[in-house]
Amino acid sequence: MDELVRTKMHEALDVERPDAGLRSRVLSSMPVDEAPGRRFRMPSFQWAGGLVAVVLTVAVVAGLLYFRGGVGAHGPATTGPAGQVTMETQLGFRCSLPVFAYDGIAAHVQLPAGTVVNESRPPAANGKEFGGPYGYDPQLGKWLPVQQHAISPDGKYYAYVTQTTGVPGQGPTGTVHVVAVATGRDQQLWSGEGAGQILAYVATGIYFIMSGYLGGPSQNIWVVDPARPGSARRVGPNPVPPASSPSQPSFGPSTFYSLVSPLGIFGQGFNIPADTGKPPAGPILADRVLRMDLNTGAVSTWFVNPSGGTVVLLGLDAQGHPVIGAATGAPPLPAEGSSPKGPYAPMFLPHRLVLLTGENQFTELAPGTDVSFLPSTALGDAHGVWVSVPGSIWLYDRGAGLRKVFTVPDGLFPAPTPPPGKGTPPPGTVFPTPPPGMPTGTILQVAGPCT
Amino acid sequence: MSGTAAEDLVTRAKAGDRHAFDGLVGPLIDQGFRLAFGMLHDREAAEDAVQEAAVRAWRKLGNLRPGTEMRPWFLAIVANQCRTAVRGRWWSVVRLPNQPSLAGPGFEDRIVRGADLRTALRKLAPDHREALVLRYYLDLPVEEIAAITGVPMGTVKSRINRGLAALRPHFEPVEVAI
Repeated sequence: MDELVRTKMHEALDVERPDAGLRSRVLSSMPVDEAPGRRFRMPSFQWAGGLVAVVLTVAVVAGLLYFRGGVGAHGPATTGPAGQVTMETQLGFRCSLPVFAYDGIAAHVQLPAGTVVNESRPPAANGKEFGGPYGYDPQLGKWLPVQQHAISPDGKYYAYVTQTTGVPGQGPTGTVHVVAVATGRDQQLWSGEGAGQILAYVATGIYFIMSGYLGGPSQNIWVVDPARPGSARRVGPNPVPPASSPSQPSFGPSTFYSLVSPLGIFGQGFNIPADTGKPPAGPILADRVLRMDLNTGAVSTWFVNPSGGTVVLLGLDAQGHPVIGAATGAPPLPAEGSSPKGPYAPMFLPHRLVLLTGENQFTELAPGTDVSFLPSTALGDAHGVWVSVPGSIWLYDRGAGLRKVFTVPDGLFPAPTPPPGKGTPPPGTVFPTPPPGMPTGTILQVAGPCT
Repeated sequence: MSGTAAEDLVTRAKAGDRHAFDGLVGPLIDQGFRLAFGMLHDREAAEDAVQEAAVRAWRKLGNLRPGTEMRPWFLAIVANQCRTAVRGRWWSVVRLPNQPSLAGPGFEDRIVRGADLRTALRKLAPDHREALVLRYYLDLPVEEIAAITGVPMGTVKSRINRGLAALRPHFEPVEVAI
């Protein structure tokens, strides 16, 4: 009987087999800008996923009910007023803040009134749907299919990377493109082996990172002047030294590169222990911020989390200083044989908000004692630093400190309609319940300066 | 892979050596795909599930203790990803370009022959489907299935038996009229 079942099962399921390139594709898609074992970052996103699922389900159901009532619902491509956020503070200025939520929903929040205007889905680039997240180009008044850091300072261009999938023995290839916003002209600037990612489009050029794993891990930061494609050069030491010693900060395969500003390239560094041949005594966490000089490639440590917990790079202020989140505690190594799913521990998530102003110099914007405050991104402009938190947007400026600007009412940003064949979860589906104190609400990402 | 070699790979992978990670997880990608396809019956969804599982494995390396068996650890992540996918997380799926199909001579015939069983498998409770796929498609022992699914061996056996009972008509010998 067993053999018959085996045969039948193979007959039924062997209609699709893994193709020869799957292994290469999967492994080349690793988050090359993250070090392994960052176990306490994922749960927040898992919970966030659950929260998004709950919100989306509620929104879809609400949308269907709305539709059944004979009134058209606002879809993601709808243009026009969409509602009102709940203002939490009196602002002494007027501006329009571009935000996006979920896939394809872009909007402006008119401040200080709090009126929300939904806008059209951003365009595709090079025939491909990016699917967000998006950036807003205030100079030309257009939504672009890349995040704000990939838009040129004058707003006339944006950069993106296309990727080929790898095959056995040959890694993926990345190509850097630059697009003229006004004309849509797409120009290939550079191409090479590895998985690519745009770090920043700044006055000195387009910074990008190429990561590969065939023949050993490698990550290299490049800069190219879009006016002179042949000028592409690596930034910093060549080859990049391995990040193997905690005493010598270096950008290497274990660094999470993230932000580029005129002040340097900033990345997360890990508390990698000295190579003693023994397993590390504690979990390896991204507990520090490294800075690489744009010209010399020299690397220095700007911040080490005193709690030993993780740090995340959230964004830059208008002067190019990094804004980071920091956990107020570090998790212990799980006990032998224990479940990898540890309990939710707010102290292990980056609730503390810090503005780094120099090497070992910083300003604490939020102490991390409020577990409902979990910053996800930050963006600086002339008004201060806009901080995105589940369910709300905050603003920091030196005069007034950190203030909650507005709260996002549930259901204000309707979920996109499920594509055919990808219907809503089946009846009876139970989504995970967020643990007590876990921040909830729609996450609005600030997509550009408030103008 | 010897225990020492695997432990060395784990230690190196935890330190950020992606080549070591490739050595650990790479050999399991095919099995991961087969499990995912057995669960989801959709090639793209299965590839997505394996890809997401590999990313999660990378992020969960900190939980992996030396001496831990890699296969049940990784397949457990794949199985968990499939359960999540079954719940309909369509909004978070990032699709890779379609890969060429392996269709060849006899492909249509194979599809037709297995269609009824695939339909029946889809109607099974996910836990039962998972147990059957692990037992009879990936040929794993009950002990390892228990480790992957996180339930006692008795429960695994019970799920297999119930799954088989539901599919029994598909496993009866076919009588051919002459």
